[in-house]
Amino acid sequence: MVKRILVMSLTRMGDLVQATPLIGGLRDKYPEAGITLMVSSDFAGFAPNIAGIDDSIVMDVRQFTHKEKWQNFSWVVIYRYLEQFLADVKKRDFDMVVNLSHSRLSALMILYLGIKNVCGFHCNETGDRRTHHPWMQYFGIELFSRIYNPFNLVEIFTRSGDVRPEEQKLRILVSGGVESSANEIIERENIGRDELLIGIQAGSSLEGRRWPARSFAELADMLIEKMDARIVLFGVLSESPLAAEILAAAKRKERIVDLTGKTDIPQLIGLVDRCDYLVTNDTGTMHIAAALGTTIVGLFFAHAHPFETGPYSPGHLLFQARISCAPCSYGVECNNVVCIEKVQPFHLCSMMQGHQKEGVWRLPKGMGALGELNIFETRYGADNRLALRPLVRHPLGLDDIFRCAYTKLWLNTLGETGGYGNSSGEDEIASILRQDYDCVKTQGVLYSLRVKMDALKDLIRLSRKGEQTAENLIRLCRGKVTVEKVQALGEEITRIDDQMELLGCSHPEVKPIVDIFSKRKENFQGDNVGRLAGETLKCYEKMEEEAEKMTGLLIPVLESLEDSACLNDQVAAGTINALVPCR
Amino acid sequence: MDKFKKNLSLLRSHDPALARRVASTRPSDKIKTVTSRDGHPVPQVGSVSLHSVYRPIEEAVRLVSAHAFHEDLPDIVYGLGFGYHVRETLNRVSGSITVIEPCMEMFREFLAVVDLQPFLPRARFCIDEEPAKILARTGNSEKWNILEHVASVRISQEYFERLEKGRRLADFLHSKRLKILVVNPIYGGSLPTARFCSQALENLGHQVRSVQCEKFADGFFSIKDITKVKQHAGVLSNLFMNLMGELTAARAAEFQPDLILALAQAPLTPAALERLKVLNIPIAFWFVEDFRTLTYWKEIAASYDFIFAIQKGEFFEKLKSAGARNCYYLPQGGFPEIHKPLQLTPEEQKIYGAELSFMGAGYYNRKKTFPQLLKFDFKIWGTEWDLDSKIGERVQNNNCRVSTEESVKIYNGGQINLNLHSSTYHENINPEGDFVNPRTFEIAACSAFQLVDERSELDDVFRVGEEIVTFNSVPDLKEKIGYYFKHADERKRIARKGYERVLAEHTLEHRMMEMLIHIFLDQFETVKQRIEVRKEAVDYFMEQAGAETELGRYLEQFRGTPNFSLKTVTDRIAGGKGALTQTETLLLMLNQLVKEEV
Repeated sequence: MVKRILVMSLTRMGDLVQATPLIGGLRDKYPEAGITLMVSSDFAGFAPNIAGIDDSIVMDVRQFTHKEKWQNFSWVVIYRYLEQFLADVKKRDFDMVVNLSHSRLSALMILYLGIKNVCGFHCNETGDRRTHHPWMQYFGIELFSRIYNPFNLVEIFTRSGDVRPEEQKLRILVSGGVESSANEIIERENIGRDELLIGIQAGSSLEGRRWPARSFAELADMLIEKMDARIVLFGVLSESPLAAEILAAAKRKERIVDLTGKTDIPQLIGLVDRCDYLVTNDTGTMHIAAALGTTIVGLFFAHAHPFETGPYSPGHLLFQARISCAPCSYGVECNNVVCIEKVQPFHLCSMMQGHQKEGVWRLPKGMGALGELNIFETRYGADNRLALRPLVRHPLGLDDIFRCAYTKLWLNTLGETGGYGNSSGEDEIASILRQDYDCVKTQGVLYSLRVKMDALKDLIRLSRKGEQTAENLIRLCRGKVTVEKVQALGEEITRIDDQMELLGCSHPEVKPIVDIFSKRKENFQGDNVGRLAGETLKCYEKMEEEAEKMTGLLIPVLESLEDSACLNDQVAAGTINALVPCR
Repeated sequence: MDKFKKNLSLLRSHDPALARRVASTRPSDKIKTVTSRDGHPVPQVGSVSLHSVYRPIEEAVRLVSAHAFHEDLPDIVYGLGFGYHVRETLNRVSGSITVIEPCMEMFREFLAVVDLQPFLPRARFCIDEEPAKILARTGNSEKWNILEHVASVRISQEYFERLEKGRRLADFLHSKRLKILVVNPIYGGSLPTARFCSQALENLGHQVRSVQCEKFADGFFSIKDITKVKQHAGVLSNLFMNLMGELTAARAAEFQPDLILALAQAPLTPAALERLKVLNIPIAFWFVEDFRTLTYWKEIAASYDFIFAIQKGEFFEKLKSAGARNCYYLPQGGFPEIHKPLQLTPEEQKIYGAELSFMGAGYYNRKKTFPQLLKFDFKIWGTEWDLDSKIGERVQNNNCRVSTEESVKIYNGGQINLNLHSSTYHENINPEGDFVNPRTFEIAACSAFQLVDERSELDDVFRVGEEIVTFNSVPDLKEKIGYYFKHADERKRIARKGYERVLAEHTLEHRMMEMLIHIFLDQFETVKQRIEVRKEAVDYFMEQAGAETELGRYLEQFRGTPNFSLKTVTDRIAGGKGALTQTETLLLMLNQLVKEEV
């Protein structure tokens, strides 16, 4: 029986909020267990607001971040801190750990603590990475094929704890103290009870993810002019220069309150709760707003990807550039940031005006050409999962098809909570695609889709070849083992894997299936050839299953698109021009 | 023949350099010779008799009898006097002994009154030599078995105190690591010497960093192509030199060395050197070129704390006039890790094998001399040869630069290596030639035979005729080439002796040791304090961790590891096998934190 659960979340404030559905699920699953949250000192103040936890442990490495201390060879001091800190944690005798930090540091900490029941990223006794849960394995590969990822990180993390995200929500606690400390500021700034209050979070942890200050200023002026709004600028002290820039550029300064660096976490929560809207880059404040139910207008630039880190609650509006380089990969340095220019202040203001009047998000007239803009609304789908519905019906692309198909595939193949409803989902995909995308001109997509389905056939073929080789190896191990034969079969497996990898490189749409196959193989341990061959066989079988399921999901889409294409041709044939009849 | 001349003649065959020095020494009127009661000469300095005026031989016997000799330890005698104790010591030991005497006049007087024959060949006389030189060339002075001639030591108290201090310093340098910054030249034949010096210092156990100015050679040469206007080229060149100075300052500021050593044409201007003085450490320069040919030493002489040179006499006078504060004679040396005997493969033998070989640049005197040697199987390697000339036909490498590694093969391949020191205006041999070029030591270190032109400093480093063979004219050279072609055994024997001499006394490790002793002899306490305050990184961490703690015990394995850092630890862990220990896991976590925060 699980009595003491440690949840490690040592990264950012937004991650803490995003962990709340998982924590809620753990609470439901282990009602008698004590749940302790390990946080970094930067966000220790937020821990009391995390619903479902009984206690928190603060890891304070920030005390060592003064550069001169590092240069004074003080790493023994830091070593001793870690040693003492973990000794104290060990004393608490946790019997389960949920690691939401996904860093090597956190994995090593778990090894050191000796906790065997691990959910999330960890390592084995020699320090090698291990990820056993299918959803954690998926998380490990998602980064390399982000464009095909349909899952919010909240969903991935929650499922990796064997908790169904449909049954949980983001939750943060708002105490009376929070409200009153926010009210002090509201009164001080003379913000009327019924005034339309719009928060702006202009900063973000990564500079490249920010909308320009002048755009925020222009938006603020528009919201003030057209919606009679009061504007509050949120952010930490280091973002004050950005707020100063916005104020300098804005015309209606008297209606803008600069609170950057002036709020603690309870005040921030209280003020965000009071806001009618929050306009924000992808930030921790956004996730707080999502938990509180404050309507969000989210801006996703550079690496930020709304599918991955969008606010995990319904009714929010998200903007993203629809250009070939968006979202960009982590680690790239763009020297021509064009994505931030695709979203204009009037886009937001027009949408927000409509929403304020009607209570729903709708594309108004006068938005101009939206070919390079994604506008999504967060809402629950028929499957009760939170999804992004595009408000702009762009022409259907191959990426859209695969992202949709992967939704169904992974839910079906990645563990218990993956199995989703009774519907196999094939028809559903085609229906979703028709609803969300313009499926008129799809000849190019059709051709590409057929090519990718051929790639899936190749993958299935290679999987079967791998299975055959693995079976041969198993048989060999049961009989008289010769080193040369084992070596030969091992080399054959390596060759098959290399071909698969090449296939994944040549067909990025298929790469996630190849990647998760490799990720599963990372968990192999020991040097018993027979056992390793058995595990290899299972991996090939799983890959064959996934490739076949993917093919099954795509066939109806192909047929549906072919029908549409044929219909379009017939319609076109009704015009003066005579066309080649369809197949 | 008077005794002095007879002894001098004998000394010449044993130690010609010493013979030359003592021959040019005038008798001192401070030293008188009296006769003891039993009829033996006794020197007197002032009122002090250096031996018993009654029975000096008995006194010597008593002195030596009371001394403990050890077969495995080198026997060193402090003070000569008239050598009664030295003679007695030679009676007691079977091997050789070294006699250290600071006063050349005393030695002269000794030669004038005492028969030298019984002392040779086992007594090696170090007369009026710098302590640094003696200590560097006489092996580990910690092991010296010293017999003090008290009277001699008393009258040369300062010298022997300095020598003892040098011994303590040498011992200190053997056990402690200095941090030494070596500044390389940008290009040129001395660049390998700079690199060898760095390696030699590391071999001696010191922590060395180099300022690799040679990496900027392309930039330096490209400047010449920028403009033909001399004035502008001068400005650019100065700016470039300033950059080199700043590079050195940056390296020094980070490394915090105990000594900066610049070599040859290291690009350090007086202004750059002035900047470096804030470090408050000695800054030394080893000028390994001919001062008459390269004259840039004039601009920098006053800027260095120590100037080491491969020439003395006139050059020292000129250096002092130019403001040099401390000049020291330090000849070149070999680097046995590179310059060594090799067994050439059959293919290499075809390429490098020759009856007569030369490796070097086509200087004037060589171009003039070598046509006279074309009747021999003569192969030439090097640069700046006129390939269209008769000699050009013998040039093997098309004037391309010869690497150090290839030069070693050339030395090993030639039956006779010709070593003619360069001159830009002599027709063949420079009769006033003084310094010994590095090639002399390099060939000897390869145990290869060479014929080298006579140089005044040569007999200080090799026994001519036994360890090396010289020539004084082209006819002499031709005759000796013919002779040594025919006498292979003798050739090999001489080469072998030269090889042993290089390894015993003339490697760059010997030179670096001598240099360090000379530099720090008068700064011993300062450098001792500096090093003792500065702990080795491992020791520092172990002290912080606590030697008896698990972490402290874990760090023990890294004692003596150069350039110790956290990375050293994590690399060791990564290379290990089996399950991580708790200490290792903590260290890996620490590494993750450090990587994230710095």
